[in-house]
Amino acid sequence: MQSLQPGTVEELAGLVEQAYEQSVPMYPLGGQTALHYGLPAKTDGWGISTEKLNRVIDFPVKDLTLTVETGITIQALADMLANEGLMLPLDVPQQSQATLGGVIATNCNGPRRFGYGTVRDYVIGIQAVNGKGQLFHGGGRVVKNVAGYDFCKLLTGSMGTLGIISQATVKLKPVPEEAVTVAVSLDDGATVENCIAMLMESPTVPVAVELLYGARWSEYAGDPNRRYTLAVQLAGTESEITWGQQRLADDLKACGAPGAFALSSEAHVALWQQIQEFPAAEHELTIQVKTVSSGAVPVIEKCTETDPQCTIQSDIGNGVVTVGFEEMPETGISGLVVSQLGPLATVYHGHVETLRCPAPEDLTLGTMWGQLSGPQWLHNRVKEQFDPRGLLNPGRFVYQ
Amino acid sequence: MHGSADLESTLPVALIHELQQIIGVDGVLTAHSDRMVYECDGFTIEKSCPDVVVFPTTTDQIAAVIQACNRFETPFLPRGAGTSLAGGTLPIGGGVMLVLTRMTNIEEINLRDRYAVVQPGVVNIRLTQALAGTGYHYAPDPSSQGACTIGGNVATNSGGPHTLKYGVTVNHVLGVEAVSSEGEVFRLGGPNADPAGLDLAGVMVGSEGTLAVVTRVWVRLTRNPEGVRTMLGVFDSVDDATNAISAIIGAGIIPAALEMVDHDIMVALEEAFQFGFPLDAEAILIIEVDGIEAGLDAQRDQIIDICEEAGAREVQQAENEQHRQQLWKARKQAFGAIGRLASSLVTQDGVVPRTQIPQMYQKIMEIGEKYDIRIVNVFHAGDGNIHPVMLFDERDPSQIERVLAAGGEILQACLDAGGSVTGEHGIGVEKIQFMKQMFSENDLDVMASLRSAFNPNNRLSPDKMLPTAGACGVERHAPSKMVAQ
Amino acid sequence: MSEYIPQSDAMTPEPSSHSLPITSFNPGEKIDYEYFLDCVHCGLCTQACPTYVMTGNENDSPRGRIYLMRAVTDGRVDLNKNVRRHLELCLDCRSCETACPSGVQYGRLIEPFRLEMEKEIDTASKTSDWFHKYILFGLFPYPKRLRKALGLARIAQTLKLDTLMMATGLWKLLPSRLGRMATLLPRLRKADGKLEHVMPAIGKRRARVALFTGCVQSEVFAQTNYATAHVLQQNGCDVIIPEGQGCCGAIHYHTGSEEPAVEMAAANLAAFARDDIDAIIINVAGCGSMLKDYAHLWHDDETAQARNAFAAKVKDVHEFLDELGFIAPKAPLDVKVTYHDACHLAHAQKVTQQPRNIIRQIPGVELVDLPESDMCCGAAGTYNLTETEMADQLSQRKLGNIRETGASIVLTANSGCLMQIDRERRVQDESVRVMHPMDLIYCAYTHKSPYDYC
Ligand SMILES: Cc1cc2nc3c(=O)[nH]c(=O)nc-3n(C[C@H](O)[C@H](O)[C@H](O)COP(=O)(O)OP(=O)(O)OC[C@H]3O[C@@H](n4cnc5c(N)ncnc54)[C@H](O)[C@@H]3O)c2cc1C
Ligand SMILES: Cc1cc2nc3c(=O)[nH]c(=O)nc-3n(C[C@H](O)[C@H](O)[C@H](O)COP(=O)(O)OP(=O)(O)OC[C@H]3O[C@@H](n4cnc5c(N)ncnc54)[C@H](O)[C@@H]3O)c2cc1C
Ligand code: SF4
Ligand code: SF4
Repeated sequence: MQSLQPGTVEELAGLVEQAYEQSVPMYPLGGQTALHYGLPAKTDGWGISTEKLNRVIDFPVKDLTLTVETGITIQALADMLANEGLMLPLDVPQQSQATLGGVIATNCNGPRRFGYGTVRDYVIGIQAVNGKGQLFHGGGRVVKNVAGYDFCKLLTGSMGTLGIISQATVKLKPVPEEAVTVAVSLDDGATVENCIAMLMESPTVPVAVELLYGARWSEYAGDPNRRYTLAVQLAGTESEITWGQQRLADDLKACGAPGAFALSSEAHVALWQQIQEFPAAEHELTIQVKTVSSGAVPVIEKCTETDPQCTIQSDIGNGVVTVGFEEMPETGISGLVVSQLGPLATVYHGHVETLRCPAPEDLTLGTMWGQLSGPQWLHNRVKEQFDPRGLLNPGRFVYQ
Repeated sequence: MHGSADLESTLPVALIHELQQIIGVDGVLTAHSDRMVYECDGFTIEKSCPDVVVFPTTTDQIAAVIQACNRFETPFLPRGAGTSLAGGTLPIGGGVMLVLTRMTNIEEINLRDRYAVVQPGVVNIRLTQALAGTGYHYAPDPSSQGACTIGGNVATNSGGPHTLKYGVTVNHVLGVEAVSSEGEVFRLGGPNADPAGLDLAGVMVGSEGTLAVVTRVWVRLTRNPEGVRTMLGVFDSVDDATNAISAIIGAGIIPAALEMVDHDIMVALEEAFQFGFPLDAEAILIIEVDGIEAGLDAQRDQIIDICEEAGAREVQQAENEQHRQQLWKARKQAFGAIGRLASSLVTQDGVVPRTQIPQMYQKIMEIGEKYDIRIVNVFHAGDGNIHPVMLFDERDPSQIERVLAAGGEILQACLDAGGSVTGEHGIGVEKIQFMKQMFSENDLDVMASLRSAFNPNNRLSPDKMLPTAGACGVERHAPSKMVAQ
Repeated sequence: MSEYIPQSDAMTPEPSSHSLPITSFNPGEKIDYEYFLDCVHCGLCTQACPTYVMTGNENDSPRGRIYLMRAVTDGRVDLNKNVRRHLELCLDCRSCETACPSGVQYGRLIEPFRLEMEKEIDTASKTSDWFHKYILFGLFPYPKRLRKALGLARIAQTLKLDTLMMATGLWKLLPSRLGRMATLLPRLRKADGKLEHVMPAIGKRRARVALFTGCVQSEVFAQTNYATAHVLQQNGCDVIIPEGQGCCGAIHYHTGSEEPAVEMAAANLAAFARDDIDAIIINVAGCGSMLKDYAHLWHDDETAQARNAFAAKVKDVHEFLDELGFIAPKAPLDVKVTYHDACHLAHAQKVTQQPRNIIRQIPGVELVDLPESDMCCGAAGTYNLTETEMADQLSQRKLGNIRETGASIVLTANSGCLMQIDRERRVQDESVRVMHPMDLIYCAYTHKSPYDYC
């Protein structure tokens, strides 16, 4: 596959137009950290990289907004923001490679979504080139704006199938003074559920609530004999955190989870780094179940029942459960995803995705993306409008 | 023909007959006098009378009505409470109006998973009322929340004072059920925030009723904050107040709400509510911070320092919850109260980068002077959303002309500053001509293509939001009194 | 086909049998047009309107009604039967005025408009209508006649005939409005004592007041008047019951019979024209707002001064006691209550906190919030006799809200509301009791059980 690196958005638009005229399939490329995410490409075409599109367009620090080209890596972006005491609180694996464009295209969210929200809450302006080579934009550079259709939402999570995102404006947040982790070891699902229900309402407003299972997390567990580790991140001012830690410990105890402790600051950093990288970790099979929060415990119990050796990282307040299997379960992917977890996820208004598997070519729409939300016809029609020749990431997303 | 001239309906009797069979005679208005009250909404400058008004009570009825409209090639559009300030509910070209005010059930409240399911006609405040005592609320709080519907909020992506911190409607909508322009029922998203596929529910929000008719909404519920501090910053000059705004945001503080009201509006509010505003001040800021009790006093002190540094005469604190509620009531009713100041008024809804509020304020006042129009201001200052209100006398045609010109110039100034022509009221019919200034031909073309994916024959709310050829058939009346948030 | 579209005046002509000549008649002509212009069409009032909340039809909302009245006035639409229906359905509860930030004086639009509209109805047909002839004109203004009529009712109640009527639905056989009136009548009870012309303050004297005893009130709610006088006495007031006072005229005025209303007002002005009183106290919201309105309902200059002086002294009893400083009873009552805001107290007089302040001071009384407390219960003067369907829907909604509070007594300070809610709770066989706040306070002062008084 040929990889092209346009240096300007105009060049990008020209390139796409050319591909359109010649009906050449196009594969948008960011940092290439998540190319395995989605159905595999089956046809040859042009890889269109955003590598050279990494300029900062406008950074009015005091407005707490930033407009950049999307080839900028998350690391570069984070460094620049940190200098001003600001952040874009999305937890992205392999930050030195992953790009903003890739994050938006894949709607990549991590543990801190519990307190800070998701990609769609931060992107307030977007520019892209559709499958015909039309450069267009939506939204703007101000934090409140209702003029026109919301292309920011449309393109977030569109997997590079409606347009190649060239530029984005994001909202920023000030970096909190401090952040700490309160952890506790737990044994049974019922107690976990009690704790989560409490945390959903906790006045300490946690930034992240993680439930961890498996040997990988043992160094953070207070009691290695217990099955689960619950890790809660608090962020804020010193006084807020001092109060919050105590309050949390008390409340957890009241939920039947005594013995909560604060991680050392090194362990705190290491833990969240590891959680952030988990979806990218090497496993034989990695799946992700996305349900409402109350669905997480049943899903987790089901997975540990299927394979007690699996590793689980769950943004449990948001009902996102990522499971790594070292061995392919006996039932195979479709057995696991379609027969076992799928129906359970459906009960909790969710679905199952496959993040990594040994034989991607065998993935189907159903085993890759799970049950589509919204009608197929509407997805197809939108796709036809933006990419009438079906050239952008063909065959990789949900269209049929 | 529309407005007063519309005495004859052009709809086929067979269609009306069918609508009556679908909804029941009780839910179909055909008499001209009955339909006439639906010829405009909160924006009264333009009027257009629907040919028939129906009150569906179920999604299936809506689907059946839309299928009938398609068979008779008749345009149709949804309407909620009719508080749009942009003429969003204007039935251009007549047709069938689906009024959703009889779909008022709150179908489910799930606190564990933090969502509620509501019908589109549920009035915004009713949801928060239904949540009283649970520790949760529905965060988007437009000033019209006592009247507007959640369906309308979804369509216009409504904001409110507290959406500064908590986000506007789109940040609180998890999913929608809708009926397509061809009469098919579908669902996008749901209780779960991570649906598979495109975020089409997100696209529906703010689409001003031009993509599909929303028949059910899954909304996120928000935890009530543990504590809150509400302050009233009193300033002797508007410049000092606007500088304080930009200093607060610039210091990295995102209050729960940050609103500015200038002197003249304060006078009107005082007359209406006797709140005790300092009438000799030039501007006040209403600033609210909320969150963890343990951190609030520090935040409050920091804000007080910033205000005082910017030249505040004093910063008062709300004494108790009742006092706080009164203050917000006064703020939210600001526009209505201006009705007491002048016989006619028009409001703009521009947005500028929030640190540019001081310059924008100067600009607005210059424009006012240039056109000899008195302008008073109330801003959602924290997110740069300005609402200059132009006061005039509708009986003087030259004033009307100057008001329109001044309004255009203000919005152009917003665009020049990198902002937007609407922060929350939407494009509707009112600002349709500004779309070309804000968006390129490509942008509009791609928007039109998105619309045709949803609404291919353009029967659903035609000639709204996008400047297409033939946005005619609307009578332009003289601007009369008109409010805004 | 046309039979399917009966409402359409556009596609099918109005039925020729239409009883009203509509073309030349314009009731808006007498209205000060500025009142229309105050409305900025924002719609913020809509949810405050009970009829709109029930029908969802903008024609039945304040904004819609103003639009309709203005359109009739402007000659854009005729006063056809649809327009009439929407205006008749208005409860005149004035909830919209409370909600409107622009200060639209809705009452000053709808009341004169309807007055003109009613005048237009053939006077002959009105006076030959039994309801107008015997009840409105024959009964209400005359406490003595009312007493006789009620005497019969009391006998019926003693014989449990009323319960029988209710249970068997026999009342439906009576002429509709009479039937409803029969079912509206609460348990009639004799007062604990007689109202004297002068009733001296108990303890240190703090004020001297005159009590307005009303027409229906003085008969149906004799005990409440007695209780009110007692509560005032306990609060250090000399209470005077002036002779010559009578019906306030509200019912007549609001049903379009202006003349008798004027006569009644004149009688009351005369009865209360005395310098030795600090306030004219009224315990019925509907009458209270009418009395306060004497000041501006009529425009003749001769009586203006007298009307203004009178209106300035009129005080709702709660308003007065709260201002004076309520001397709470000492003995505790142990009861959970809730409070329904009568429209004519909350919206017409803006008295909302004072009754609550007072109720909260009674020891042992737990006051819980009533959802939609200021939404009309459907009584609205004679509305519950004329617009029965809407009235029933509203009172059902009200009772549902009351039930949710778990209170055993609902308090409200208006005779119409008392009767309407009490009827609904009897229809639905609900155990909750309905009571005037003065009756409850009286029980506390006199160590009586409130359940014996409601
Ligand atoms: C479910 C899930 C699984 C993940 N698994 C891994 C993982 O195993 N390893 C890992 O390191 N990270 C993983 N990530 C996180 C990944 O790093 C982020 O999604 C990241 O932002 C991808 O950025 P990238 O620049 O590397 O994108 P790429 O890997 O280059 O591209 C990812 C997808 O986005 C499209 N795309 C990229 N840029 C654009 C653009 N500018 N416009 C339009 N489309 C574009 C591509 O066509 C491709 O389909 C995962 C994320 C998610 C949501
Ligand atoms: C005094 C006042 C203050 C205001 N303050 C604010 C404010 O603070 N913030 C703010 O954002 N707005 C504000 N507004 C504007 C207005 O209230 C909002 O836009 C509101 O969301 C409209 O809701 P509605 O139910 O009245 O909708 P309508 O006015 O009936 O309709 C608005 C638009 O939504 C469409 N629509 C309605 N229901 C549906 C549905 N079910 N499906 C699809 N489309 C639908 C209509 O076709 C129309 O285009 C204010 C208005 C007034 C009069
Ligand atoms: S009456 Fe008042 S609240 Fe109602 S629409 Fe008119 S101005 Fe608005
Ligand atoms: S008076 Fe009452 S019923 Fe009449 S319009 Fe106003 S709120 Fe509605």
